[in-house]
Formats: sequence, structure tokens, C-alpha cells
Amino acid sequence: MTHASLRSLPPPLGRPSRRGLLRGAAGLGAAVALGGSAACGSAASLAGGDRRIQFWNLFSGGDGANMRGMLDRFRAEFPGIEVEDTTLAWGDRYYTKLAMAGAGGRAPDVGILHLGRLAGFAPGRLLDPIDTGLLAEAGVRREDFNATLWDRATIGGELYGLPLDIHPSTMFYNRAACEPAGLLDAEGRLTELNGTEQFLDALDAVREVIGQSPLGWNALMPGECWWTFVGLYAQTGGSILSEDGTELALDDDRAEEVLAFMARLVADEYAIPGQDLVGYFVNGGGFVLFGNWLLVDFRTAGLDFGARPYPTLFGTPATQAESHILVLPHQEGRSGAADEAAHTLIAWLVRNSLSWAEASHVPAYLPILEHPDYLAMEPQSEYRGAMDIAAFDPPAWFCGTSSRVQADVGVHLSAAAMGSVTPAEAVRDIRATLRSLLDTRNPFGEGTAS
Amino acid sequence: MTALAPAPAPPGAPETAPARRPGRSRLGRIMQHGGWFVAPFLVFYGVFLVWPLVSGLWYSLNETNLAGINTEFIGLDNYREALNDDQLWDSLGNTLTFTAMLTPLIVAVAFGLALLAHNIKHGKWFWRLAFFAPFLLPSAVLADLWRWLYEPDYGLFNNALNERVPWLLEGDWAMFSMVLATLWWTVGFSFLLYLAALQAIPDHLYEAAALDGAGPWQRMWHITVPMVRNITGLIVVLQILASLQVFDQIFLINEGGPNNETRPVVQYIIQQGFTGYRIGYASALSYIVFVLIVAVTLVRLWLVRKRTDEKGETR
Repeated sequence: MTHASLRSLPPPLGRPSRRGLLRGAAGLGAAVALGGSAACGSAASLAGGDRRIQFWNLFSGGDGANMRGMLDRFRAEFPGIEVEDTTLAWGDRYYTKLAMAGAGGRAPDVGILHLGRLAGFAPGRLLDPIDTGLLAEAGVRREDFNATLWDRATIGGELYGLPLDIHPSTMFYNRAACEPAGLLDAEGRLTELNGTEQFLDALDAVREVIGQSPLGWNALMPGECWWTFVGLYAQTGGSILSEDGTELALDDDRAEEVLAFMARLVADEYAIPGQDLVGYFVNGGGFVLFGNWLLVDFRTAGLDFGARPYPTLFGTPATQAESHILVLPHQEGRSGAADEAAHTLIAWLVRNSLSWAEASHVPAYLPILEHPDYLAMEPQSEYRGAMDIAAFDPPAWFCGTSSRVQADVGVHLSAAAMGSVTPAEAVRDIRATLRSLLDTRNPFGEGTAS
Repeated sequence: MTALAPAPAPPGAPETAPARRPGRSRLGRIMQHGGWFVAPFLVFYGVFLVWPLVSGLWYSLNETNLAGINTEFIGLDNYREALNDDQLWDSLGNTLTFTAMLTPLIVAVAFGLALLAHNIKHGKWFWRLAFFAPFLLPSAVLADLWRWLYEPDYGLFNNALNERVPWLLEGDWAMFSMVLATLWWTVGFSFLLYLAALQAIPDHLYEAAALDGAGPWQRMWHITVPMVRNITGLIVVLQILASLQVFDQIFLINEGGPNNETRPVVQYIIQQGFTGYRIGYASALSYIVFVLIVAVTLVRLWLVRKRTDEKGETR
């Protein structure tokens, strides 16, 4: 069995030559034929499903249109591979379907997962490992990624997710509000704000300019409080759980310090909880703390704004981030041409993620992160540094996007931020919640023992 | 609550039939008496109600996860954990508070609106439509609409009041806001039931009372209210059952916040089962809530029966 099809992948960024394309298609055809004869596959499997890839994703907004556009380009470049993409509703429902499909061994060939969810998704049982050899042949290697990111997707020595992007917590700033406050440099970018006092001073200055609360940040939402806490607590140099995700490592003093700061944002009316963030920013708001994807809404509204990672308020630069990873949901007997085509697809997607970055996510593939066309994207490239300071969720089964930890710990964070409990009380509640989550058996069981 | 309904075999059939047709099997006799007509329903009833009920019970005795892998039998451990789970009782308390606040409001407001629409001279159709229309909205639309109304700075309410009322920001206010939004949304249905009941009251009762010198309030208390009593009972039961299952509008408006103070028990079950993958534990929680709802229904049935019995004696 050769990997001819992958060797003949087109160069990452330029459009493929016609000859390359033809060779690729021919190679694939040969691979299918070889695979079929080598495995003594039935005629039906040869003629039918082999080069058809099912791809499940959860991109429904602006990034959904972007992904469909990328898949159309892939289809044009690889006429031999038929990609059938299904967009499912985001959140619990997506994970429910993916888990059940993986459990039955009849999963789609390729899926999308949030990196934070990987530890709880039974890698090895519900997910199949990615063949890094095949990826390398397609020109995708560990060196092409931020090492922390790649290693977080590696469990028990096997790669289970190929990072497509990261989507960090971002601070959006309104130029019209920041300029009169003297917060912009010559290039119109926000000056560095270090430490909580400097940050609050800047907020006060902006409040003077705009005559309303200077910060859009919704302390009412547990998930948003979780993101903020993960980022700011990482800035103190602490970690919430031990490195293997099995022990509590929370430092009470540091956590209280961060919570007291979050509570101050609300108590001193820097941020009004319950605010619709887009509504706030469109109505002349100063700053917004939220995930980078709000960029699409702000741009649609025609605002003049910039976006950067969280300012460094507690010493060490860090900003919370999640990542979309491409995964191979578990299939009985995943092998042969379909498997190779799946690897072809995921390698192609990360290598061609320039257009993905337009929808605001930070590309994980470093050659794209340094690509001139990406650097020219404003304000996307302004927060590209988030890649080096990304603080991910702890590696435990109950973490990740819209997970138990976001709801259960987030609610205590929100209570502290809203001032209904003191930071010390909140830390006690957070400890109790984390301990009970740690004491709960990982529902899908430990991953790699399949 | 359909689970409580008796098995839909035709009652009495087995007792009367054997004497007439001793040769036929029991099943054959049932089929003879309309069984085929009931069969399609029975299939659905079995597949979508009985089977899930039974398998849910089985799940609750296991450490079952969403994917159904690595399952382990653990007996009553899930129930033991649930009884000590403060979050269950908190969220159940929220559901009960919501029910206790909403049910009397719905009855009173629906009755008031029905009286208005019934007695108004002009544009009856318009009032009926206006009061009933919100009931037709999907919960997502309702949630979006009210979230904007409650918005702290740009919301219609706070702008009109020129004050920053913490509609969704403080626990008690948030529960009240949920009740208010739900009242607006669902009152139309009860309103319609009351309207039908009002139209069914014969005019001659009012005429006779007026002749005897009864004023408008007396006519209302002594004729209208007693005449719609059955409908009131029906609305109360339907409303209690619907409120105990409240989930979507609260989740969509506020995710059960702030500080989980409006989180209904259904949301907690979903969080355990689908966010946390623990279907076994979520099933155990569901069964506990199920038993409580059944208990409420039985108490209600018992009260009604008692009242009708008392009435029978006094007559």
C-alpha cells in the first residue's frame, strides 16, 4: 500500500498546477485500486464508499460559509474524493451525536472537536488516532504547530486531533473612544496596559470620553466568567488542576485576587452585566471582552475597531483560548483509501486555512500564521500573538467548550463577579465543585484502553 | 403523565366476551373488539413511552454514559448520590417557586382577560387575537424578545422607567421576570378556555339574578365564578404540569442564572445527562422528579374527588 496520493499533494498555498492535479487524481485512483486488491475488498466497497468522506462539523455562522467554501475548493482540487459535509447544531447536541456515532463504530470519517473536550471524549475508544506518517507525507508535521497546542492534542503518544485554529479571548477596542483618551499609538493600536491599575485608569479615561460604562463584559454568564478566569488566573502563574488533570492545584490567594478584580469591574460599573455585547459596542461602547468571533458582527456593523489578546493584568501574559481540532471519530476497521482520503482532507484544510482565518479564528498552522496575506488581515493578525500565550482548559473530562466546568464552576465565578458572594466564599465553592467533579468517574471511561 | 393512564385495553371485554365466544383466544377476542384500530397507537405507545420508561429505569441503576460504552451496574448508587445532591434540590425548589408564582397569576389574568374580551362591545376579534397571539410564538422568539426588553441599558423597560431595574441580574427579580415573560407567552391558552366557558353560561341566569336585584359583582361571584369552576380546575392542573416541566424560556433567556437561582430542575437534568455525559445519573434524577410529579397529580385528583364527594353529601 503506497501513499502516492498524499505525496502528490499540491503545494500548500499556491494553486495546484494542472499536471499536479492530474497526478494526484491518478495517484488516488491507483491507491484505491491497490487498496481494494490488497484487502480483497468487495466490488461494492471499491466502487462505492471508498473515496467518499463524511465530514461532520459544527460551523453554522460566518465560519460555516467559510468552511463550505474551503470544501468546494478541496473538491475542485481532488475530484477523486467525494466530501459529504454535514453541519450540525453547535454544543451538547453535536457532542451527543458524535459520541453515539463513535460508540457504534459507524461514525463519519472526519469530525470537528474542541480541544478542551478531547480528554473527556475517550480518545482511543470514540476517536481513532491520526496517522502522523500520512500527515508528514502531506507536509504537516509537529514543527508546523505551536508545541503546546500539538501536545495537548496528543494523548498516550498518539495524536488524536489536528489543530485547525485557536479562538482566544480577545479585547476589542473602539478607536473612536480610545483615541481621545490617549490610548492609541501612532499606528492606531491600543497601547500596552499592564497591571490592573493601569487597566482601570484606561477604562476611567474611556468612560470620560463616551459617557457610559467603558467595558462590555457579561458577568452574568457562567461561561464567559470561566473564560475570563482561565485567562487571568493563568496570568498569576497558577494552574487550576495538576498537569495530568487529576488533582486540584488551585491557589486560593491568587484565585481570590482575580475574583476580587472581576467583582470590581461590576461593582464600580465598569461593566454592566446582562448587556448585549454587540448592542453595547455598536452603541459607542469602549472595550469588549469576548471570543474573537464577535469580530464578524462588529465588522458587519461597520465599526472602526481593533482587537488584541487580554492585557497582562497579573504579571504573566496569558489569554484564554479554545481550539477546533480535526478528529477521526471511531470506525470499525478504519483503513484503506477512505482513511487516506480523510488524512488528505484534514491536512489540506490546515494547510489552506488562510481563508479560515478571515472568519476571525487564529490559524494553528504556523506557515499560515506567518503568511504575508494573513499578516495583512486587520485586526485578525493583531491578536495572532494569542498563539504563544494561550491558556487552555485543564486537561480533564469535565472541561472544554460548553462543558460541566463552564456551567458548574462558572456559576460561582459569576456569583463572585456579581457581588452576591465574596471572593473567598466563591473560591470555597469552586474548590468543592472541582473536587466533586474530580471524584466523579469519567463517564466515557479512561480513553486509550480500548 | 400519560404514563399513568391505564393500559388501553378495552375495559370489560374479557369479562363479557368469554360467555359468548368460548372458542376464541383472549387476544383474538380483543382484536375482534377493535384491537386492530388501537394497534397502531399501541405500537407507538410501546416504542416511544413504555420502552423508554423501562430502559430509563435500567439506565438509572447503571453508571450509563451518553455513548453507552464502559457501562457498569451500580444498583442504587445514583439515587443515593441524588438524595445528597444539593443542586438537585435547589433546582427543584426553583421549579416549584416558578410553578407557585405562575399558576395563580395565569388563572387570575386569563380570567380577567376573558371577562374583558367577553363583555367588550367593539372589536371582539381584535382582543381575542391580541391576547392569544403570543401563545403562537416559539420559545426562541419569546426568549429573544424578552431578553431585549429586559436589557439593562438599552432595554425598553428600563428606558421607559428611566431606571436600571435588575430584571435578570438578581435572583428574585430574575425569577419574577421569567414568570412575567411566561405569563405573557402562555396566558392566551387559558384565556381561550375561559372565554369558551363564559360563552357557555346561559344568559337567563344573569337575567333572573338581575331581576332579583343582584348587582354586577354579585352576579360575577355567584354565577360566573361557580359556572367556570370546572374550567378553573382544568387550567390549574394543566398549568401545574406545564410549569413543573419549565425549561426552554428560562434556559434561553438567562441560562438559569444568576447564580443558578432560576435554573429549573429540567435544566439540571440536561446538564448532567448531556453536558456531563452521565445518562445514568440523569435518569435517576428524572425518576425522582417523575415520582414527585405523580405525587402532585395524585394529591390533586384526591382533592377533586373529595370535593365532589362532599358536594354529593350536602345535596
